[in-house]
Amino acid sequence: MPRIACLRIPKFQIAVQQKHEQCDEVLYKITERKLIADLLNCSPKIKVQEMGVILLDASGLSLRGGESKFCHHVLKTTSMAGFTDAYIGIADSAFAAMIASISKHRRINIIENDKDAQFLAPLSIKHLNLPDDIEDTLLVLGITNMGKLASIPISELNARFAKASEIVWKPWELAQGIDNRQPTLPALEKVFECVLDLGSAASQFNEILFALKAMLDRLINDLKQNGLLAQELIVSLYHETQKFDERTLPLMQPTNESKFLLEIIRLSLNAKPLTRELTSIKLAISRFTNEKWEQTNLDKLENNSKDTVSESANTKLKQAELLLLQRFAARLGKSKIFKAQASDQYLSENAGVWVPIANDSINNSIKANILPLDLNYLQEKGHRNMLSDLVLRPTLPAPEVLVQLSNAKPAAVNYRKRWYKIKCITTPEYLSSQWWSNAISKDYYKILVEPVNAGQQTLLMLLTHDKLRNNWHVEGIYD
Amino acid sequence: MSPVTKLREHLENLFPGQWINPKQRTKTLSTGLAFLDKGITRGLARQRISAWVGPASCGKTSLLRSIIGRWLDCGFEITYIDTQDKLLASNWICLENTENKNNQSPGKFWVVRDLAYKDYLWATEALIRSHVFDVLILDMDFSLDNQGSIKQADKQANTQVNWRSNKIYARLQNALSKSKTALLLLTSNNHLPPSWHFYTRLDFHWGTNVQHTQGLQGNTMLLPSINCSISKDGLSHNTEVPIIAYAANRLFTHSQVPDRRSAKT
Repeated sequence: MPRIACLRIPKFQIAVQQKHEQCDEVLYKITERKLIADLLNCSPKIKVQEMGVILLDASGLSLRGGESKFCHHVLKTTSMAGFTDAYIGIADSAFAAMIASISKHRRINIIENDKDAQFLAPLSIKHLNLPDDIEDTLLVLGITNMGKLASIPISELNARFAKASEIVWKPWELAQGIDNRQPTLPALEKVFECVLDLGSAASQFNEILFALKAMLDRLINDLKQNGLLAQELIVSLYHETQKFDERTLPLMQPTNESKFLLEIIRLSLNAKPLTRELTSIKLAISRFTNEKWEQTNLDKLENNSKDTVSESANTKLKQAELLLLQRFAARLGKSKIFKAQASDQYLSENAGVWVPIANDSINNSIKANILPLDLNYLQEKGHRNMLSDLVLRPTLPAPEVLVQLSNAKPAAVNYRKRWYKIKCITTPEYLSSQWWSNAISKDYYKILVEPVNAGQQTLLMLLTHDKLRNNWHVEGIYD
Repeated sequence: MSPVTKLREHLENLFPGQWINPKQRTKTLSTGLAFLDKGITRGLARQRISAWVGPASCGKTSLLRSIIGRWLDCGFEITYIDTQDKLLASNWICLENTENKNNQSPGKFWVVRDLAYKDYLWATEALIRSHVFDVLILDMDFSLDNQGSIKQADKQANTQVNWRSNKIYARLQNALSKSKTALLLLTSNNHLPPSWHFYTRLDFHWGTNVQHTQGLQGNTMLLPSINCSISKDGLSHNTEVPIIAYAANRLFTHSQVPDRRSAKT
């Protein structure tokens, strides 16, 4: 009698995110592969059913200390891999084992031999994940649990619910404790890495250029044969047997162009020169994805040849932008190219946020600062070709200045150890905000000043009076 | 000038963004400002270095922003190297137009920030050689601190990259000659490289005429005119540029919000 164990990690994605401070599908898969590699010590046959749900072969365990010992061994291995919140269920069928692992009160739930149907009978039919209409129909008919469903003759259920291709209605089989899903031997993990011993010490990129070319050619050939594209490259540099440098080079767009990858490595080595001589190099493609192929729409090509040409020109442009972003990321470490995004904030300095162009560089702190704003309304109602005020260049930190008053209005200001006479001034605009966190109460004056001593330039400034602290600042200069 | 060209220019003035097509490669980029487009400069030259010179507060960035808005309407792609990291994002948010006029793809305005001194030249060259951008703006006041003197760190770095050197401009000109980009240098008088590197040079400072916008309780806006001196190929021309702007609606005159944090009795 085959026995199947189901390991369930309910907060799998959250645990991965906490460990790596980022989240994406590829990272989940990589972590899952590592966990499976660890679990191979417990059972040779393993199958990932869904994210965080893993089926293991648990047959013949009576000779190895029993199923309970096996469960403890699996949970210990999982815990050592960093997933402490895990549950395990063992049954004859995969479905029953999966349901057994859902139990919140018992971390280990073992269903005895030939008792699957008995275990499933009192449980709700919601575990079967039926389509909503069928589930509603069954509930209306009073079939609330799997035991009642299993007692109905299959011929009646087949006639009503089964599709043409189905010989037996699958949910009925599951309710009976019959499930064909079995764990299998895991597929061999593909590893794309290459190590080269130079035979002598090198310290310049030019000295290792040919070695890198040869390694990249080999790796890229392997990738192409498997229909894959590289997403991330790891370059490890060794002196004798000691690894002294490792660089992770994420790619903004998957590629299998060796020339492009060589350029990325060159930029990385130019940006951060080697600290010591190297004697061997290891090149690994740590992330990869399947190659995608697009089929050309021939009808469109014939009808709108001009449009297609312009579209392809646009696509090329996007490629050029991606290449540029990749160059910046490789040379400067992270994205340094930004665009301005509006944020619905009260203070003018917070009303816009610089957002990196590369999506992967947008971290949570940037996202938290952005409150979305409907710019279409502004563009419809506003005057697009008119300036909204002049461009302010803030002086950071805003220097405190001495102000001479005349009739309670600023008349002269001492800025950077020079006296400026105020030629024109606006009426103050009062701004107070965020009294619940950081109290602000300021008067804003726009002033046009000319220096007392001749030969210096006229300036247009933003002068503020902080009423809470009773001091004056020049917050910026209009340019 | 042919009547068709005249008509196109007239229509462009009436309906900005409708008649300039970025795919039509021209030697100069029309700015939408008559004194630049019809004067001795004939717009901003592609594949050339132009310089806008003026002290810290002279109106050159405000003028440039209005031109960038028009270029983006026409679908041009623009990048700005903010070497001082002093541009406020809120000043540049409404420039990119999401509407698709005349089947043109909308323009892009990217800003390069947080660069180290040694990377400015590399970034400028990389942006030019990418063949993506129509206009590249380099703010050249990177070595000046708030008091107008050269930063200590940059003094040391100056030994590696000297922006007054002819070699730098020869490299940039070489990169430009193989691209479609117009390079615009913004610089103050203090840090001016030799003038023969520039195809055109514009000098700015605030004019004497000041426009006041009256609100309910007095002046709400001050808009001094900008004086501009254009020089190219030994010719020069002085002009006054009036600015039209509307008061920003971000500051409000109201009484202070009461503090309700006091403990309840």
